Amino acid sequence: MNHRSSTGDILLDAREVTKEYRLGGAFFGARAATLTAVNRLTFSVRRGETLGVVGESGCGKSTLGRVLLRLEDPTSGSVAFEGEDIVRYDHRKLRALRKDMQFIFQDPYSSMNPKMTIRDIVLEPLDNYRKDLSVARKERLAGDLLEMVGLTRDMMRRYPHEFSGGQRQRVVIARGIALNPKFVVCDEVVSALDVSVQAQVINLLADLKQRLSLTYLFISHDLRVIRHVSDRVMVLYLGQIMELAPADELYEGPLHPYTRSLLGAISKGDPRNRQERVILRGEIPSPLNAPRGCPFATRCPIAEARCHEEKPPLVERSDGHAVSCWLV
Amino acid sequence: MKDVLRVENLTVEFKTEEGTFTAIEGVSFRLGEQRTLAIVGESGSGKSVTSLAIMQLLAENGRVTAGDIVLDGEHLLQLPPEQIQHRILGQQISMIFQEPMTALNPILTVGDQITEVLFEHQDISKRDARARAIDVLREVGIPSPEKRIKQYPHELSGGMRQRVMIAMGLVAQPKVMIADEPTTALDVTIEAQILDLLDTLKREFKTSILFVTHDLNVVADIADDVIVMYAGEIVERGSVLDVFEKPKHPYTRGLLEAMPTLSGTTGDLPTIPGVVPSIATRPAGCRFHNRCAFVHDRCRSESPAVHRVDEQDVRCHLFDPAITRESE
Amino acid sequence: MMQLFQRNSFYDLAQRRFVRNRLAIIGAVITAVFVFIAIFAPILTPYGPSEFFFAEDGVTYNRYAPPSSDHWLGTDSLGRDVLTRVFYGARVTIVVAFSAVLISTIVGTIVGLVAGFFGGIIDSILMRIVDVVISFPVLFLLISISTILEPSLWIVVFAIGFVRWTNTARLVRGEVLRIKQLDFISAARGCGSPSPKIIIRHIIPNVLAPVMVQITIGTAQAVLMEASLSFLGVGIQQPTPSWGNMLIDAQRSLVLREMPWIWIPPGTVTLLLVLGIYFLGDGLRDAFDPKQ
Repeated sequence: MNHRSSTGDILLDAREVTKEYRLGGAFFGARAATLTAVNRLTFSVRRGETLGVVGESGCGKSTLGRVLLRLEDPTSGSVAFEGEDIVRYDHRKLRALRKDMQFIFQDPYSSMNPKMTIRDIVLEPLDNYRKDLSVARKERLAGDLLEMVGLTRDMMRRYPHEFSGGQRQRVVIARGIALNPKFVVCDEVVSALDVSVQAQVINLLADLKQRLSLTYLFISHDLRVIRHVSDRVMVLYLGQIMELAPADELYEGPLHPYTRSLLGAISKGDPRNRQERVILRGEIPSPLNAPRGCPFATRCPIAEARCHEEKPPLVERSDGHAVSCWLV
Repeated sequence: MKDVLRVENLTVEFKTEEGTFTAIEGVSFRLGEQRTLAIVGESGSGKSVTSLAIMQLLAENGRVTAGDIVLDGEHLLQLPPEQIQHRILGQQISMIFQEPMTALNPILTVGDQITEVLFEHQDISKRDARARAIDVLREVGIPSPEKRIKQYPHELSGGMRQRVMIAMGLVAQPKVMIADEPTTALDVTIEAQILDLLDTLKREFKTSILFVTHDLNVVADIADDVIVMYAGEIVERGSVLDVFEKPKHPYTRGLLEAMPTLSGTTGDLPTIPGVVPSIATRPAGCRFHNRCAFVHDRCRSESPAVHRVDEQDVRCHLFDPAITRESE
Repeated sequence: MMQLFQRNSFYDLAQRRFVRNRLAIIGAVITAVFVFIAIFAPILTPYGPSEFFFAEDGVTYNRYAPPSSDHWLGTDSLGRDVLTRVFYGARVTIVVAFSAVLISTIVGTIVGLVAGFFGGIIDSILMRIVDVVISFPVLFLLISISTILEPSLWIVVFAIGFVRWTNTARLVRGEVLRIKQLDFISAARGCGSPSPKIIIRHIIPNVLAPVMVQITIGTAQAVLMEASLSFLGVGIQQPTPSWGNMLIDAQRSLVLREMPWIWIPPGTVTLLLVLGIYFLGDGLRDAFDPKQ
């Protein structure tokens, strides 16, 4: 999937997108805290590319995906899809928009209603948008979709619990592409799968992208998978962008100390080459009391006084490599 | 070298509503002193059943129907349950689980849970037990252990909880520690810390580790020897270098190739076709034959024996010396 | 591991597990027998529930007669046939319990669905109402009502329903909150399904199982409640027979000590029916959720 898209036109443009959650504080106003899951993210997704989003737990990568598709509303900021700000879309326009943007979920177990047949699951989006189609026509379409994701038509009358994780994930993908969307957010779609099945699903997604001219936002914690599927990669930490660069560049010449630590921490998968892993000290701070300055400053091996005080801006260099660090 | 743990021909059956199924069959291996042996496999491979059978923690409907488990000269399967409970578990052999949140008791403090292990097996005063708990927490890298022993599991982060689990596993200085996917639930940077810690502690505490995982990259980093399991059988066994550099079994080769790498791969990933068979759908003959690229008639009908090739053991007809000689 | 052996829908699987559960089948049979008795009471006994029988002298009532070939379970303090009253009592008991549970299930499910699905201020208000209802002194309420109004079967039904809906509401709300978190709800929203459709297609089918269990447990408890209320004299009133008011005679120690045919039958059938329904409910729960 690594064929580089030219600067290309922009499909989705996020400006200062922020999502806060208020925790606690119900009826009689117990004390409420604010959790900033996504903190003023600005980036764009080009038509036809796969933008990888990588980060550890609590970095806001899943929230970001949900906010971009307006499964949740951002607290502030704007999201432009094909040039139109969708944050202020009302119910009706949003419904029309959902056809073009789809979400593929991480857990192939909880992302399907256990009481529905595979046919009904795959047809749900078509039932909502293609009321013009006859039942027989839709039935045929459901079969086509199943075949497209490498399943067979005779599975339609069966239930999710009768399938393995990999097969379920294929059903979820079939549902995701049923409306022929332009933009698909894949949230940890292969994380729950066995290694031998994971590769099949990655290949399937690449194949569908080609055939249906899709654009992906591919969210994962797995640096290897991200490397394989992405054209560009965005590294998140505590809801903020640390680094955003073309995949090859990011993996071969990481600039941000956090990206370097991440890449240094993971195994090379080579028993002869057990070089000292870069062990990052400490733990990810709670997003409830994120550091005031650079979010990574508390664990950064090279942090200076300034890093703890002031948040570094995301600066884009000429080659499209953007970093948010005072010391780079 | 002396074997601390020897498992011979272990077979485990599960009784279910649908009948009786053999989860693992003829599993044999040896774990040397202060060695790390990784059992790697996908879902349904029987890797967890193997470790649970050793710990005698099989679910009620599971039963060891054949085989021998020898821990430092003692035949565990012949010991009465009280002996196992009092003298063996936690004392000579301990286990670390994948999800420390559910493996720790939420209503007991960290200190109580660690000292409990000691009270269970040793005649030790409260004060000494507490001192030991603090020591072991310090060993596993928990800062200010004097304060931490008064905390409850929910007050700790995921990485800290896993450290507590390891402390519990080590406090009685067991001969063997079984680690069942101990880093799967953790973030990359925390995983690196925990793997590093296990390696250090193995030497300090003179323990052997049986490391159960689905992640070949982790295996490359931590194991001395590797067992690859598929559908309830060991398909390959050898030193970590041999298995990674000269994988013999088609399944092992497929697994190693299917992983995306950090150095960047393009195009389709090599895959193993088909799905991992469930316990009820294991094919006749070689259990891998319906996914194997080298399948021939014999594989469909005849279960392969284990063959010694170089320094490795392989369960595959391709390595049958009789056949190899014929073709020469 | 289990899922790969089985085909067909969730309810097919549950049915199979239920049929294999012996205790559940016993419960179902007991319950069915009582429903049968309730429906066919007039055919099963030659007497009427309020028919008085005279002693041999033809003047006085044949009161407190021990079991005989005419009256298999004897007669009560007014000379009525105990067995006949047990049969007709089944009618009252079952009608009261089923109606009360029907009301409480409908109200409770709607309140729970609305509170759980919409959340926020609606949820807070509805749940505080539930708290108030739970805190209500029901017995006191009933005694007051029965002194003011003419006590009737429907007041008892309403009273029991009024107490019971809160349990269902809480249960359904909890389930809805849990299901709302699952990805398939987001997936439905993401592929354009409107809220009513999400409730009907995705949420209701998934809360149905626990609600069905709740219905059985609720019915058993309603049977007990009716019996208690009638026993205390604020439930079903004479001459209508109910198992509870048949036990009123047992408040006298002479009856309790020397005339067991008067109180053992209504007591035993109450126990049997409640036990049967509980077995049925446990069987349903195990069938729906085999992990427990």
